[in-house]
Amino acid sequence: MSAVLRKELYIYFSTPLAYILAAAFLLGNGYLFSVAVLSGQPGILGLTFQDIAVLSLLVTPLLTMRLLAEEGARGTVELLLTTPVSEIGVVLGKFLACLALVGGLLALTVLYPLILLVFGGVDPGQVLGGYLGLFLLATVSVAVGVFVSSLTDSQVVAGVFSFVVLLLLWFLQPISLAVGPPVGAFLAALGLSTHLTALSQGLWTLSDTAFFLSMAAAFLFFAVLSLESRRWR
Amino acid sequence: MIAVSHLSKTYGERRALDDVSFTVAQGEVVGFLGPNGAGKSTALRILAGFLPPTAGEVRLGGVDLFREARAARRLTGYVPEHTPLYPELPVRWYLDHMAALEGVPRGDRRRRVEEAMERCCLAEVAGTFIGKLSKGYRRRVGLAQALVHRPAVLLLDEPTDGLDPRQIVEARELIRELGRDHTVLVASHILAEVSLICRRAIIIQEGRIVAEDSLEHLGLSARPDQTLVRLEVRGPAAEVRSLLEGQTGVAEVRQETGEEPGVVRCLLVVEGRQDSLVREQVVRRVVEAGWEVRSLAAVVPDLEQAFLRLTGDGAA
Repeated sequence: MSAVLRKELYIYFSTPLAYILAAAFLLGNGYLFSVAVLSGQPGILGLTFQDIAVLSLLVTPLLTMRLLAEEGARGTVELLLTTPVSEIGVVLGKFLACLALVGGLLALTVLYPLILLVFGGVDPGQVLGGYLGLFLLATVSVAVGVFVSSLTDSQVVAGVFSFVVLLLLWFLQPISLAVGPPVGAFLAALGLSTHLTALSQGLWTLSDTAFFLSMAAAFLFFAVLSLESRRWR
Repeated sequence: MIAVSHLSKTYGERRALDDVSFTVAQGEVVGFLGPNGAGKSTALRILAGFLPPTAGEVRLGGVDLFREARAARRLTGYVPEHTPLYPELPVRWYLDHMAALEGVPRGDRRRRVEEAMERCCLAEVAGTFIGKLSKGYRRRVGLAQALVHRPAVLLLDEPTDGLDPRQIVEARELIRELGRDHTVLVASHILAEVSLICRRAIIIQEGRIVAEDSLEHLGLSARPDQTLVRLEVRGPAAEVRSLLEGQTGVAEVRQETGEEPGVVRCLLVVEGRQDSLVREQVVRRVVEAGWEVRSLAAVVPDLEQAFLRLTGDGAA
């Protein structure tokens, strides 16, 4: 697993993609932050976290799309699966490498809450909760990306499809309002944004944390199954 | 070292391998010969532990490939067709990565990587990104990757495909050398290649083994003390034949069907090192007998003919 993790990190940092994405991510966040500050409305911190969350959902598919699709397209998956490394090791190595990178991107945004902390007098607990929420969201979005990337040999298909899946999961809450109970309640419970609300107010609950972690675990499990199925195709 | 018994693989309706059994002894270099689509790659993929077979058993040095998959995968070094690699990684970095995946302990890795690079003559490109290397170098990186954990068995799928003639010669030389320390199975559709690298060949067609023997016994290469000559003569068939058979140095005459009526086509098996003298003498005798020599050519046995003969539908 650690060999896979090391290789993925090496490739991320030796190719321009990660740097370009980091720049675009910060540019987008900086713009949205300045707009929010200039509007002068209350609850700026919550708004900032929401902006970072949505932008991170845009960025992660671009980082995850190559993880397994590229191995399939190049044929290196054949070498990977003929070494003694298990499928779980391969999936976890790739997942952790990408999660570390997304975590790094999120850490770069700490500037905005810091500004609010100094000048706006916001609650440090809320900042902490917000970042925990963003990181938990990243575990799910990276896991979804790894899974989708294992389904196809085309990076473009993987990127677009995982973006669609993440967007759908994100908008389940507004969709649930349109549907109404009882189906709506079920949809809302699956929605990513539903479980971020409390965290972005600085309220940590076990159920929200468990939701994100079990979602991530489920998609990683699917990714392992899908990788194993390559042997049968 | 490799014991394959009753191996079958079906993809949906298609049978890629059909009840294939063979063994390869330790230290042997064996050619796996067959036309494209015969099932060579499928067999190698199964042996490497990538594909599970539909039926059958494989043991590598006594280790069951399917029950003890991890231990068995450690025993094999595999170079898939077209040598897939990561272009973003430098050569040394990549080999270290593969060694780590194969479970080489951290302390030994550096030494093993240097060793593999030395064997495959990669020292001068150790720091170069794989994407910048020529095809010949990439093949060598593929080989080094398969060697880095010192596997007992090497599985090479079309190792010289797409190389230029000089690189092909170098690659064959290298594979022959590797045969000293490893048991090697080379899949190829090029007979000349197999006859240069291997002593024994397993011939496979449509998923079945059609022959398995030393190359000489298969008639795929002339014995070192024999040469094959094809001769076309315009003249009466029976008399031409008996004249040719009477020549010293001619061990055997096989008549083939000619394309033109009145022209006799024969394959002569010439013995001894004096084959050029024998050829001259044969031509002189034929001309003296008043017949015309249409053509005379040294024959390199080729796979297609061998297949036709071995599979029995080769009367022509």
